[in-house]
Parts: sequence; structure tokens; C-alpha cells
Amino acid sequence: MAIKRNLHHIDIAIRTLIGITLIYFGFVDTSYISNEMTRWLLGIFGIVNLLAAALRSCPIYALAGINTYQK
Amino acid sequence: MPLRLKLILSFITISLMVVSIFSVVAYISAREYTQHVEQVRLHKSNEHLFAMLDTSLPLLAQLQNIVPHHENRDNVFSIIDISQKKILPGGGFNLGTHLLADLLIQSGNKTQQGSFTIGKQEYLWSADPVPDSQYIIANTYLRDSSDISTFFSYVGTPLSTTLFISIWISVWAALLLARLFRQISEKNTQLEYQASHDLLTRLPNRGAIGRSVQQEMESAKACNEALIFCLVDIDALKEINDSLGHKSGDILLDQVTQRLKRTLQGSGHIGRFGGNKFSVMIKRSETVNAENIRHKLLESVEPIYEINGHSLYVHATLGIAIFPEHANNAQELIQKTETALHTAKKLAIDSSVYDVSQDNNSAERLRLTHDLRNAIHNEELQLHYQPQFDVRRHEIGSVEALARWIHPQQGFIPPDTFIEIAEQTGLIQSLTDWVLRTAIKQCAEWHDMGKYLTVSVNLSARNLHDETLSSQISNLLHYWNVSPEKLCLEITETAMMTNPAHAKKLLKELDDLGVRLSIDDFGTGYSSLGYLKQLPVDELKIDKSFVLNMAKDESDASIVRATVSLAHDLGLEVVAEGVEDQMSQDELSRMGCEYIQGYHIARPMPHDELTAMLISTKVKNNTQTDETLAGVQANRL
Repeated sequence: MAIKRNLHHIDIAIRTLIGITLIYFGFVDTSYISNEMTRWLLGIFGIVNLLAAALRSCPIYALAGINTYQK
Repeated sequence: MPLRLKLILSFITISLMVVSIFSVVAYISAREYTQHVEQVRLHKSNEHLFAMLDTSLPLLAQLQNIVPHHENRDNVFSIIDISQKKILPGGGFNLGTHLLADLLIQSGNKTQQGSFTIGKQEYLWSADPVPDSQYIIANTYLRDSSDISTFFSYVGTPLSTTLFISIWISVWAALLLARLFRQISEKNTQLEYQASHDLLTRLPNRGAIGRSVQQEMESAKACNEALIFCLVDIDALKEINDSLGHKSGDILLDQVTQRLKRTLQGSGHIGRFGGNKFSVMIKRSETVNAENIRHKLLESVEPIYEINGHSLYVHATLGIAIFPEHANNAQELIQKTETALHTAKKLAIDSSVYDVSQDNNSAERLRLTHDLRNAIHNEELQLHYQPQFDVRRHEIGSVEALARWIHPQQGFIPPDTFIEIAEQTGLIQSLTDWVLRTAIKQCAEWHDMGKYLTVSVNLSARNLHDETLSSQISNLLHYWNVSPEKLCLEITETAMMTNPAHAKKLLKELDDLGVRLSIDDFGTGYSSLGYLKQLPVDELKIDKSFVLNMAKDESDASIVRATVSLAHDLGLEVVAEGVEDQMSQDELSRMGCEYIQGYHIARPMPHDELTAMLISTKVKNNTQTDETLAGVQANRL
């Protein structure tokens, strides 16, 4: 099933930025956050955001009927 | 504010609140836990000190020697003598030592733990009695005031991360919920539309029409305006459905809808009232009234329709009622319009405006029906008797029993009104039962007085369907010991012709009983003479419409003459009713009419008045005198 794009390029840029930041604090520079579980949580969230940005589609947007791409 | 934004803000607020509450609870719990840990440490420190004591040496000296070596920046050991109630030298002091010593001296020689605050400083302590002595060692610890900042340095980052993730998930949840709400709302709107509209024509349905009428009526009332409400009945729909299929019927309904819309041009409300009925509601104005709206609607609906290659002519019938003239609420207005439509269809005309006289179902009529039922049940009706004068014997030969109803609130109700209600509602059966019972009983009373009158009772068409009628009459006659020939049953021509076979059978049974039978209102119905001659009737009553004018109208006189002659030829006696003058009476006598009845002889009267009259005029028991009729007329009402 083809994934339907629903993210505007600004939306993609923001998600990419957030994704990279979270992955950085989660997995790259661990000195900021000592708690491992917290780091993992942030890292996973970062990956989710990067994935959405890469696919140009957010599954929550799709479920909620939101489409920033068409706006 | 859009629902989505509202939900997002609400969820973020909830997340913030949850994380804040969680932080406070976590901080309090952490503080309590560290206090417990510190107190256990203080207690263990005391026990460690006690373990160093040698029981063979003086304890106080040992304590005063050891204690100073154990003290450090955080821990202060105090030696308290419970017996002497004082702090002994050798131990340490801080701001809370005296306060703590007082507390321990009061509470006695036992292990205790607690905390106290002096100024902004909080102290934790553990007091333990020195084994086998009166001394207590109180170990006090000044808690680090940077506890909270230490706590947040540990949990701050996880809490912030949790808050961040919570808010993120909240936004997701808010977005999904907003979508769900929107879908539910759309579904509800759709269902509401379906519940209030006809899906074929997309017009408001009956329920919605009712609500719309009520709203319009309220606004019209406020503005002192009038509303015209019409029901348009498309007569040919069933035939089209049956012959061309429902699809064609649906096309017709759609085309009618379009035509009605074009006609009203948005100035009124159109609805699908159900089946083949449309409703139209419009405000009355100088240019819009019932008459021109009727024309407009008929003109728009009736021209030929082209449906699936067929040219169809459709006939429409209109019922119209107007607010406020005909009704005060929506339900009543719609009901009156339906009555008007029903009337138009019954009279086979294309339209009818509501007329109260044509309304058989008005609330007033329903009330009257209810009251009549009670009146019959409670025997509140009265039976009046109108004498029939025997022309040959110059005496009152018989009387016709006539029901009268004096309504407790409305007074005299015309017999035509309540008899019609009784016939339409089936109450006629009970009414006739009561009339028969009362009349036969009265007849028996007159017979006991020596007045051998015949009593006539009217039967309706419905009575002719009563299988038990003849046995009931037979029982009554037997019970009151009245000869059957003293009871005459009057049946109208029309009633007989409703179901001739049934009527013939019942009349035969009644004739076998020996009861006299009379054809009432003769000349007004459509009876066949060929049929009438087969019936076992004894007399014929000429309708008063012929008798009333016979003195002035020669054609009426001819009809009466012919009827009398015909009756005599068939071997029947003749009663002429509606005799209101001497000339008519004389003429009827000359024609050979046997009985005359009418206001010229006497009006209907209650039984006691009639009894008094019978006594004064010596009727049908003694030798007749020529003055009998004169006596009756003198007594007439």
C-alpha cells in the first residue's frame, strides 16, 4: 500500500530537527541525561519523528484526518 | 476556538497538571524515604557506640570519653540522664539539644526517632537508652537544606522528558479525539437530517413539518400574521406506482417537488407529509390568500408530466386550513387541514378550506360523544311522545317516541345532532335499547290506565344488523305484558335499502312477533317499489317535506295523494307527518289518510303531560266525541 504524503515541507523540516535533536540527546551525547530509560524514550521519539519526516507522512495525521501537505 | 485546538490545549494542561502532581508526590515521598534512611543510620550509629562500652567499667566516664570521638559536622551526640533529668557534660550541643532533652525526659527511657525544625534548619534525631543505665544517647543530624535542589538534579531531567513525551502523546490523542468527535458529529447531523427529511424528495418529513408549523405559528402570533397551511394530495400516485413501477412514482414525486418549489419561489415551506401528500405553508399577505394559493398550487401540480416516455395527467386535491382562524397550535392546524382534504375528496372537489360544520372529529364533537355515552348509560335522556291522530276514529291512536337530550352545560341538543353522533359511533344500539325499554314500559303504564295507545319507536340502519333485536323486543313486550301490535317500529327507506336482504330477514322476524312495521320518511329515499311490496310492513309514513307545503304547493299535494293511493293499493295504512295547519289536515282526511301527526295536532311532550292530556281528552278507551281533536289541539304545546 502506497504511503500517502500528508506532511508539508515545513512540517518535515521541524520533525527532522526535532528527530535529530532527540536522537543526539538520547543516543549520541549521553552526558546530558544520566537516566538510561529517559534517553531511550527520547531516542525512540527522535527516530519516530525522523521516520515520519523521511516518509513525508505522519500516521497520526492520517488517523486524525489532518493533511498539512495540501494546505 | 476550533474543537481541535481546544482539545490540544486541554490535553497539554492535563499533562502539565499530572506531571506537576507527580513531581510533588515524588518529592514528598523521596524526602520521607531519605528521613527514614537517615534515622536508621543514626540509630545504628548509637548501637555502634554502645557496642564499644565495657560493662565492667563506669558507663558515664566511658560515654564522656567515647562520644566526642564519634561526633562530626553532621552528627551531634548528647548524653541525657533520665533520673536526674538533665543533659550531662561530655556530649555535644546544637540549637535543638535542650528541646530534644525535654522531650526525651518526658517520654521516658526508650528508643525514639523524630525530627524538629528550628528556624529554617531541620534536625533528624534518634534517641536510644544506654543498656542497663539511666542514660540516653540522642544522636542529632542537621539535614542538608539543599535536599530539594539535589532531588531535582536527579529527577528533573526524567521529569522534563516525561513531560515532553506526555505533551507529545497528548497532542496525538487530542488530534485523534477531535477527528472522532467530528465523525460522530457528522454522523449525528446525517441522522438528524434523515430523521427529519424525506430522503426521496429531500423535503422535511411529517415530524419536521409539525415543528416548523409550530415555530412559524409562534412567530406569526408575535407579528399578528396569518398562516395558510395546505395539504396537496397527488391522486394518481398509487396508479402510477402500480402500473409503471415505483421508480416512475418516485420521479413523479420529485417533479411535483420541483414544481412546488418553483411555484413558491422560496416564499413558503414545502414538506413531504407522507405517501402522496405534500404540505405547503405560507404567510398570508395582501397578495397571498387561500384562494390564490389554491389556484397557484393546482396550476403548478396538475399539468402533464413526462415520465419515462409516458405523458401522465395527475389530479391533485387540496385541503387548506388557516392560522389563527382554524387552529391555535400546529397539531390542530394540521388536523384541520387533513379534515379539509378529506372533505374535498369526499365531495370530489379539487380543494376545500376547513369548515367546522364538516368536521366530524372536532374536539367539541368528541366531547359530545363522550357525554352522550354517559347520558345513555346514566339514563339522562328524556323520551317525549308526539301524538298521532286517528282520522277515522277521531282519537289519539298512537304516539311516536322521540328521544330528547338536555345537556347539563349546553342545554338542548337537537335530535339530528346527537342521533347522527350515535349512528356514527355505534351508540345508536344502546340508545335504541333504552328507547325501546322506556317506551314499552310507558305503553304498559298507559294500558294499565285504560289508554290503549300504540307506541312507535324509530330504528336506525345499524339496528337492522342487530341479530338479537327481535328476541329483545319479544322479551320486553312479554315482561311488560304489552300486545305486540301496540308497538310500531319505524324504519326509514334508506335504512332498509342499506342491506335489503338483511332488512327483509329482520322485518320478517319482527312481523312474526306481531309488531307493526312502518316505513318512515317515505318519498325521500331511493327505495324500489318492487322491493317494498315484498316487505311485511303495515303502514307508510309520508315524509313531512311533502306534507308541510301541500296546502300551497299543488305538486306536493299530488305526491301525497299518489302516495296515499299507492299505500292503500298495497294494503298499507298511511301516516302523514308534518301537519301544521287545518287545511292540510282537512285535505289529508279527504285523501283517506288514516293518521296525521304534526304541530297542528300536538308537539312532542313528556309522558306526564301526555298522560294528563290523554285523561282530559278521553282517548281510545271510551266512546269518542267530536271534541276529541279539539281537546288535543287545545292541549298542544
